[in-house]
This record gives sequence, structure tokens and C-alpha cells, in this order.
Amino acid sequence: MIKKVMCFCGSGLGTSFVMEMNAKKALKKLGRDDIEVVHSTIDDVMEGAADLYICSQDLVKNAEKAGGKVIGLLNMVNMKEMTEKLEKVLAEE
Amino acid sequence: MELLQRENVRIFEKAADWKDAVRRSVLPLEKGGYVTPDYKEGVITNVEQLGPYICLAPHVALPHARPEQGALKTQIAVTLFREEVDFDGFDRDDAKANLFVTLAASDNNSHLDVLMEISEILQDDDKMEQILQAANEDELYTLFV
Repeated sequence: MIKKVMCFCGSGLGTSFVMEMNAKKALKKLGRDDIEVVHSTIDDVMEGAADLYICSQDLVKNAEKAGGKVIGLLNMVNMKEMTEKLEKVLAEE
Repeated sequence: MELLQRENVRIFEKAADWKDAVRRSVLPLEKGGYVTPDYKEGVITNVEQLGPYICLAPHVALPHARPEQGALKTQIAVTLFREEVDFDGFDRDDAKANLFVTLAASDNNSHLDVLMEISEILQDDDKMEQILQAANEDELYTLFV
């Protein structure tokens, strides 16, 4: 069950925040705005920090180490990619 | 976008490589006293360690580092390279950018409004087309403010 999503990037204040905004928009569209979304730095990615991690494609391996599901994005501002990938992960639950 | 200053908007034909592009894109912020001279190297180190995660979307990079890596005051700079800059040497073919929107954030929150505005602009395909084709720095500045 996905209750908490953590969007992260290398510094925790640029890319991750843009992803957080778009993830919130996408979840609302998918009728799942009950899910908490936060943004953070790669240093906060650890076991139990979230149920789902969203990051750029290059950082996926860092999230896999923490366990939990991972979405790797090619385009961090593309709503379509964000929505489709979230929909797919939520459908697997 | 109220934050952006005209003198922080620059256009160049090309950069020698991605590190040169990052350094040039940070320079207006350094000159203006918004970041320390270490900031640009902080951005480069982050990318070297973690990969080109600052490549936000096709044609667009968002060079930035953590507040403690030398951001003094929150500010942005916009730098356009006519020739695409390739973040080569990484395991990612699509890491290329023309437009560098450089961010200095002195804390974790003060820059969020401006990032929201940037994100809106980047999702507007017509506007992005105009930005990438901007004839000169004045026009580029006008497209952002």
C-alpha cells in the first residue's frame, strides 16, 4: 500500500520540488490525493522513508537500495510521463 | 517572474563542454554576490557524483547546489546556448540542454515560488519554442518576466 511518496534529487531543493508539485497534480487527477508527497535530498533516501520514490532516471539505483518502489523520470516537468508512471505503479497494488 | 534581473540573462553561441556551460551559467550570480565562487564547483561536483540530474527536460538544465555549497541570496539566472550542450560521459543519452536556468537558494523554501513559475514556463511548448529562438538577451528576458 502506497501512503507516502518521496521525490528526491541531488540537492533536495530544485528538481525534487518540481517533481513533488507534478506528482501532487498527477495524484489528484488519478483520484489519489490521499497519498502524501514530500521532496527531499538523496541523503534522506533510506529504508522506510517512503513507499514510493520518484527521481530522475540516473538516480534510480540509489532508491532501489532503500527498498520500496521507484519511478525514474526522463523528463521531470512532463505531466504525461509522471501521470502514466504513477498510474502504472498504483495499478500494481 | 519578479526575481529575474536583466543583467542575469545571457546568450552564448556555444560552450566548450558541460562544465564550461555550468560555470558560465553561474557567473552572473557570482558577480552579483548571490553565490560564492565555490558554488559553480559545487554544482559540477554534484553532477559528477550523481549524474546529470539537473537536466530537467528536453533542452533545459537547472544548475543548482545546496544552500551550504555557497548560495548566499536566492536568485536565478537564465543562460541560453545556441548550440546544444551535451552532458557527455554519463549513462544517459538525453542529457542535453540549450537553456540553463541557474538557481541559487539560500534556504530550503525561499525559491519555491520562482521554481513553480519556471515549471509552468517549461510545460508551455509555445513559450519554450520562443525562448529557444529568442533573437537577443532583451527578448529572452521579456519572455521570462
